[in-house]
Amino acid sequence: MAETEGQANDTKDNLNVNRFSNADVEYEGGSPNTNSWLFTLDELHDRTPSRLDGISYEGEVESRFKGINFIIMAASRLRLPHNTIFAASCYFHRFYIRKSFRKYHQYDIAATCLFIAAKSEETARRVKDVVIVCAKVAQKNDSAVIDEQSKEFWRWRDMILFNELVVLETICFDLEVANPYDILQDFVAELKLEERSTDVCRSSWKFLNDTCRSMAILAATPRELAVSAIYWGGVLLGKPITDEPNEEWYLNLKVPKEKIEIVCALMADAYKSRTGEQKYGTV
Amino acid sequence: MAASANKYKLIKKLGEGTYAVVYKATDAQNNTYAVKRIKLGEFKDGIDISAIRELKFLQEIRHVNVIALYDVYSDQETLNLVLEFLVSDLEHIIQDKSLIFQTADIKAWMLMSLRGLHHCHRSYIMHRDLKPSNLLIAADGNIKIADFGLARVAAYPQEYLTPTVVTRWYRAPELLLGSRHYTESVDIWAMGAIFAELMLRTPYIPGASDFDQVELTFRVLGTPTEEIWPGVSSLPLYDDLMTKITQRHPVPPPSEISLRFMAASTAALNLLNSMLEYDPSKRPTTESALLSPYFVEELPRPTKPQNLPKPPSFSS
Ligand SMILES: Nc1ncnc2c1ncn2[C@@H]1O[C@H](COP(=O)(O)OP(=O)(O)O)[C@@H](O)[C@H]1O
Repeated sequence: MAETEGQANDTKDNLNVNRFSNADVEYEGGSPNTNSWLFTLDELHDRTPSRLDGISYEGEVESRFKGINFIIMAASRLRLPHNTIFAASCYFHRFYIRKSFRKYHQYDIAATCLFIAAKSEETARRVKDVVIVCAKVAQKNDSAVIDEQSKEFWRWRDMILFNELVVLETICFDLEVANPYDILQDFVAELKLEERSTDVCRSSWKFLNDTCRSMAILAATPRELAVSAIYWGGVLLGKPITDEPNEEWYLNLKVPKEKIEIVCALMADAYKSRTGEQKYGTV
Repeated sequence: MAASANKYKLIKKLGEGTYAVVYKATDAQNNTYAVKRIKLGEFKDGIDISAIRELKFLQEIRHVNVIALYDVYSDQETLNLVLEFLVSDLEHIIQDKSLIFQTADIKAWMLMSLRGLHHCHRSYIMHRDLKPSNLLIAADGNIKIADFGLARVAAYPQEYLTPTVVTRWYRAPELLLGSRHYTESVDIWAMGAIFAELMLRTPYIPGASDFDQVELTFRVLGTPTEEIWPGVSSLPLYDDLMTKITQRHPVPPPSEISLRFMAASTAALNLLNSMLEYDPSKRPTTESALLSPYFVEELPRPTKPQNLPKPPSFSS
């Protein structure tokens, strides 16, 4: 399916394109799509387009954090559900696996990803509504007057409609995102976690929400994210559920511990860049 | 994906859909494709949501009985889906009265369609627009489910869905009555209506308007009651429609249904009746339909795809 060369005019950005040849699934009865958007820590640390473009790792992590924060703030004002936020976040992180933050501003791409995810997750919003919300969030001012008379309105509108195709093309038109929330919910039910500790449940859910902001979604499958969330939900609260008598729950989930460690390392990097970003509009 | 625009040469226009124009195309190796060309900038809200759905679902679903999406590319003005080129569709075959259908042929078409649909449902995708013209046919005789512009992921029970899906003649009764919480079983109803049409060679419930569709459905299959379909009277349009439709029809007995489908076996009729159950929860899943005696026990075996009736224009 996938063409192994990326967009010819942007070869510099395409360091990882050989990855996408994984998308070349043999056409046969019933094989699932195995598009791979998973990368090693080394790749995420040193070989993204932004890193090759001279941006520091910390700088990239911060831009990603800001972009996802933008998505979350705009989404809550547009009353979009968490699965739309998750899909938009995936598109955003995937986009910057192929393009540099020097060429595309994180807010522009964040707004466009949210606009696309709203459609692909069946929660479509009018471009006009998305534009007004995004312009306000970008100005960090909910009472800003943005309407069809303002220049800002048209700048955002033209930008989103122009970038819609740019983003789609860059993410290889791959809109399918498996939702880790359903998986977490299944685990919670299976482990009877709700009865054991509502606190652990809540903090697992929060952890999963926060994975969006980090590069963890480029390093782990939705299932691995959900398992990490349960694991760390307990650890963060000082109530690791591995201390419970039936420790085999974890073994049954069949996620290697190293994976969970990778997820947590990337989460920690993202949390570090949080400074200064929390003042406006906590969600 | 993301091929260059000049990898495919458009040869001729095949037809025009609701949001795209479809062309026959070839590549350098002389493989034939159908390129669905979606004009951008025509919609004030950006790329049409039907195109987004087709992109999303066709990338996810790979199955011999679902149309293959080989490639996607774009230029400044268009988004192009490179699809498997298909020579015909079930509507043409049904309408071509020079063709004679054996019972084994009908079984083969139903089997292939349900297999493709099973794969969709297993991936939690409802098609929501099944009809003979969306069941395309490849040169080798295989059925390919196409047109995912209305498809969507199966909803959570509390989620709101629009009831205005599915081309009228294939629309399940819960949709006709305005239900907003339907499931994959709307696709099963549509397949039931297609099954009937394959046997009759004419649409089974061809309503002339949305209202007429309701009336006709009741005339053909009886007026639904709480007894046969618990919950029917609380559907949004029920009261309104029932005041307009004064005549009540009894549910036709099996003997009458079998008179309508003279050539059908008991196993075929049982499957048909179950797919056209009023109560959505009583309809079979794709799996139970595929495991019904019609497919697994009863003879004849389904015709091999390459031996199915084809129109004379059919080149393979
Ligand atoms: N894969 C294909 N192979 C050959 N012809 C096709 C293919 N897909 C569509 N067509 C032709 O293009 C026309 C429009 O297709 P489509 O956009 O899917 O229609 P609609 O939107 O009306 O369902 C069809 O009626 C058919 O003639």
